[in-house]
Amino acid sequence: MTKDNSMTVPSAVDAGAVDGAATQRFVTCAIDGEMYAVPVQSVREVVRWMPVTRIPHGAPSVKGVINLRGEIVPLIDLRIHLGLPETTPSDRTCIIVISMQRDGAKLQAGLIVDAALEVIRVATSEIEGGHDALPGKSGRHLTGIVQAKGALIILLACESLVRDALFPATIETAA
Amino acid sequence: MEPGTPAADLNALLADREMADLFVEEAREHLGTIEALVLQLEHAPGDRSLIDAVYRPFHTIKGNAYSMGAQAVGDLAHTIESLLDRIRSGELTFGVTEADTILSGVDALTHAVEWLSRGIKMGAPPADIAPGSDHSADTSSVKVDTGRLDSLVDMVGELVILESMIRENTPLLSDPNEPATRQFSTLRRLLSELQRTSLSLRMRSLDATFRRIERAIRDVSRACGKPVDLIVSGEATELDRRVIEQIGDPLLHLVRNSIDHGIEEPAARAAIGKSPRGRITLNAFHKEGMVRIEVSDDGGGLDTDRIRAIAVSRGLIADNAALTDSEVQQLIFEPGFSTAEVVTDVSGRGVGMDVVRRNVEALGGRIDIRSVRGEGTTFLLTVPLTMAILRGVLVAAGDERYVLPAHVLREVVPLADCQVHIGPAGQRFIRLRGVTMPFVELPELLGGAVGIDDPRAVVLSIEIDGRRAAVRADGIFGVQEFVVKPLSQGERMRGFAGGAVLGDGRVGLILDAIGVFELMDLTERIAA
Repeated sequence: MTKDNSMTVPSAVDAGAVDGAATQRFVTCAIDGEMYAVPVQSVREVVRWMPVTRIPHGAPSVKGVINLRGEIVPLIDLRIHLGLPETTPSDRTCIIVISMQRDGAKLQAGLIVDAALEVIRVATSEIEGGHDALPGKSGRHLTGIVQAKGALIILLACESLVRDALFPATIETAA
Repeated sequence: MEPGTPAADLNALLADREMADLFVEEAREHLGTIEALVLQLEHAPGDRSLIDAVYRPFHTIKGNAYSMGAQAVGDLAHTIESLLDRIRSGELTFGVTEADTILSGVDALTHAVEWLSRGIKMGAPPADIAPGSDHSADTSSVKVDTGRLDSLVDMVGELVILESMIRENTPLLSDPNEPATRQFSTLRRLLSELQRTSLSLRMRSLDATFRRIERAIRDVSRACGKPVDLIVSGEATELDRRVIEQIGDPLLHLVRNSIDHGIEEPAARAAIGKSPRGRITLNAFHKEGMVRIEVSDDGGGLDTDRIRAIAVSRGLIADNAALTDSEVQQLIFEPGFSTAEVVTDVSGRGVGMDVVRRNVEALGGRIDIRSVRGEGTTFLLTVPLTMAILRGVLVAAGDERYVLPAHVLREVVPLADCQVHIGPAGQRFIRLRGVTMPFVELPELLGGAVGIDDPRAVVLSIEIDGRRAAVRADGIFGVQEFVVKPLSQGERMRGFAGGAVLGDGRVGLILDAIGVFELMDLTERIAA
């Protein structure tokens, strides 16, 4: 219906597969020069920027909704969530569409990022626990930190992040 | 595999899936009939022809089951058939115990049939079955898998969107001398007919839902020791299957609530001169392009003093909050209102009235209460006929566009022709055809930029439930049909009934008229 905005997630691109050890795959993205990543299994697809419909009186970090091939998907501006000024869309701006379950129903949301980069594979043993590294509130929405490809990558707990952004009244207390 | 077990039944049925599907469909139909008949029989226990009418479907189910090799189902049907045989021969008299046995037999059979139905679909024994799925028994019709029906409606919806996108993006089609223009309008007319027809395929009457409620009332009124009579009307009112599916549970909850909390004990009723038997009325009818379902009881009405006390103790309102009775009554829909204190065996299962309201609002509907102390309570549910299609107008607010349902729009007047008056407290209002109504600016209501003296600016006069308002918009486009898509973030979407995909592929939010008034009240409160 609309021009095809989707880009395939490069599934086979693995950065330094580790022999035998348990590994996890992440989609990496850039926001304000910082590298972040979300687990591959939470990502439905990555699409290019498209016109957004603003939601009056909506939650501040919810930028609006988009039409994703007939489905209405809310967009979360990760910049606002991270306390940065809101995203000014550019050619590289991408939307990472997260698909998850909430109260037994499918919930989808798009995360706006400055650029989506690639899919990386990291050994589970190399992931530093988020709560150990950054205790307390600063560890929220963070599952861990990993050093890969010469950079520090922050692993986002995208499901709790989406829940908090869309349903701010029902913030789940971190376990 | 041991014969006579559910798994063995499934195995036997899987030998011929087509026959198995037919068996399941027929069994469902028969079970639906039986339930209604047993309830009738309770009012006329001596009626031979009714007993026969109950007997026959059990006999058919038994016969079908045995011939398909479904022995467990056949045996179950046989047991009840034998009981009915003894009633027919006069050996037993039909009474409450017998009715209970037959109805629990119906439940067990329904459960077994649904389990088998899922097993047939999956080709393997399913885990267990979610209760509460109802199936209407409709004669002289073709049975179609609902999944196929839904995908038909969805595809037609996509076609309609595509059509409007092509029209918007092809300037050629606005040239009346172009043959393609005429052909395209024919296409458009056919499409909208196709859409109406495909939607009508999904319409179902409220009959099965009301029957399920009738059954629940019977069980609940016995559990509570409160005899209740049910008066039903409007059960032939048709709604989209999706709406019907989602309205069942809220209605059941309201009815249970009415019996448990609304209707007084028989002795207490007799003492104040009411009939010891309570009365519950279920009524459905069309209203302003929506369907209204009313659940009334003739019980004690809502105790506003007690509701106020509970709300204060739960921290929902301040001790000295100045609320009207009607506002106090609304408090029962607040999350956290119905907790331990009002939980009973019957209605308290951790589900509160807030869930009822949320479910109804998720449908694009609303729920209201009218209650008079000592006389009873009426819950008024207003739900859309369908969740798939909306006739609406596209209106502009600044550079944004919104969809307004056509049924609330009374009149459109150019802003230039209207005189906006300002009242002593700064409230703005206009008079239109002798009626005074509050005036609001749509962009302001929606927190957007207000267009400055746009020549296209119009005043939309809207009305719902007798409440009127004049809303200024920065332009209006013609009436068209929109394919409604649900919005996923329920809680933050007050004021919007859903979204629609517009001609340019963008999402247009659907302003629900009730939401407009809610937003008006909200901005008023903020301003005050």
